Amino acid sequence: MLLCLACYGDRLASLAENADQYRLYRVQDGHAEPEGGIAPPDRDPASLARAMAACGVREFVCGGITGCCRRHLEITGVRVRPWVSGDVDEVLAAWNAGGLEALSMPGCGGPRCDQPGLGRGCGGMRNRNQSCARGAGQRPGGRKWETKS
Amino acid sequence: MAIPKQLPCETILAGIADGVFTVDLDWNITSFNEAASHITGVPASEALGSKCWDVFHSSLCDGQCALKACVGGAPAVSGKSIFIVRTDGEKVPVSISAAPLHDEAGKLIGGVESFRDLSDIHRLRREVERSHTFEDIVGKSPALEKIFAILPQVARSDATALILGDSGTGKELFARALHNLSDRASAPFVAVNCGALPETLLESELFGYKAGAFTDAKRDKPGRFQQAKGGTIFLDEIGDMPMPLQVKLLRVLQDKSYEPLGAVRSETTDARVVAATNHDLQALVAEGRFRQDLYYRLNVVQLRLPSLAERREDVPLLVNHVIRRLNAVQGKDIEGVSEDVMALFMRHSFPGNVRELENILEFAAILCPSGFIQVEHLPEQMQPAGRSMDLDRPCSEPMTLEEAKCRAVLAAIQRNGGRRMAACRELEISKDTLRRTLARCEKLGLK
Repeated sequence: MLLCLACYGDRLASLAENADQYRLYRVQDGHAEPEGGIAPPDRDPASLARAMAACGVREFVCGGITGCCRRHLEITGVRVRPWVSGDVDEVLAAWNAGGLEALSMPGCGGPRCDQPGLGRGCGGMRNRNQSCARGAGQRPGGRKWETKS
Repeated sequence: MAIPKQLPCETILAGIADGVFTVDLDWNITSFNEAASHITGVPASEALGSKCWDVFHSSLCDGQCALKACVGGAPAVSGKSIFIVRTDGEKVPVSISAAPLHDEAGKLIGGVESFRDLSDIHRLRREVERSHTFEDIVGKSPALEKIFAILPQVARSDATALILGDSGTGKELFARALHNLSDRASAPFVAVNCGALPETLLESELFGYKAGAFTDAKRDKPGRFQQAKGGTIFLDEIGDMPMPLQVKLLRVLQDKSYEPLGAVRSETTDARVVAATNHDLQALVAEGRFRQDLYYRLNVVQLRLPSLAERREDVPLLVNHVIRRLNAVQGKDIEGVSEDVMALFMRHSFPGNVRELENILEFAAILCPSGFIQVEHLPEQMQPAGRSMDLDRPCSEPMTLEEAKCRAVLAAIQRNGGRRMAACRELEISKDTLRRTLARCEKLGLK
């Protein structure tokens, strides 16, 4: 199973769309091994979702995320675990232990932050359904880079 | 004016509508007012002690933090447009101001950031734009309102219309509006650029040809006039139409008939003709390059489109309109332009009119796929740093007082062949005032 962490430096980025690295981890027998990362061609939600889907990401752990970006990812079949904060090692350990909730961002302790579909997040300028359904999963994009061992 | 020391800061902060928070040097939040909780959706009790990026979730948080830049010695930030993401995933446009915090001894102890929720303003802007949109033409300027007022009546008539305007003013858009508002809306709208084709090709394009008219003419080919049957034919760049074709077009306008190449019989057309040009047709007539009789046939109804410089008040509406289109067509997620960018646009003369504005925004959208377009996303020629002062710019164009002063000083130096003292005498200012003004010019990026 391929896990992706939206990172800024050695911590999770405050916003998934701001991340400077999308690190990939191959999870086998409860252990997460680094497996390079993804450099999406663009940071818009549709490109990001296409890149994730093209690389076979199953689960995406990130800090904040717009409702629009989240829907794009979920339409392509990626499970999104949002509103998590912390260093990468800390997050991986919590994920392995099934305890990501302990790393919830401030204001995200309740169920509100884990409800998919909340928040327009597309600038409010476009039709919600159209903008978020269009483009998602249409064509693969982005490229995957390998970890140098 | 200093705030008296005995006043409780917390009460003051609680009473203001803008969100305010402070951080220490490790970016831990040390205070968080009620408005900040309301806008971000994070209770103060949870925000206090947390890293600011875990609470604020802004478009700048990872790598472009304005507060970090201020604390690091950069000038204080004021009114920068960004967005934050609330914990329910909703994007909230905000305007931020940031400054470093020092203790009484002047020692740096952290930073303070205030932010204003712009959601209502953005919503209002969108409503205003909607109310000033007419058949995909956006504008609220008096010049455009005047055209909007007569457009439906002009559309309902079958009269030939001549649209005049500089390049990029949207002549085809108005021609389409005339078609869409007319009874011909369900019939075709056919556009032909008369300047894009050589004479012989343009003739066969407009009027078509019969089989055997020339080598390789194996079958009859209908012309654009026939394709526009019952609809509208838009003849763009009519000023570039060759003289021999002008005669044939005149016949179409007079008799509604024409002869395809190689035909032995005339054909008739009921298409409405709308022509457009960026040339001064009257001048072309005077020079003998455009037929006078054709000019009068075309000039039944004349629509003169204002340049963008003449309807500067439409720039914000157009910016929003173009951004919305870029978002829809290119899948971008741009919120708008920052106030600095808008100020630049309001001062720019836009010689290329709306098309130039569209091109600038399209360029900026490549560098800025989401959030607010900032000055650094604009093409180089629009960047304020290092721009040279255009001394020939008309005085009537909008500019800041500082710019006006720079302009006067630089023009005086230029007039006096670079002799500064002579410029001082002309302007009746001291050499110190001149030096200070020139320093400010340099700061503004004006040479």
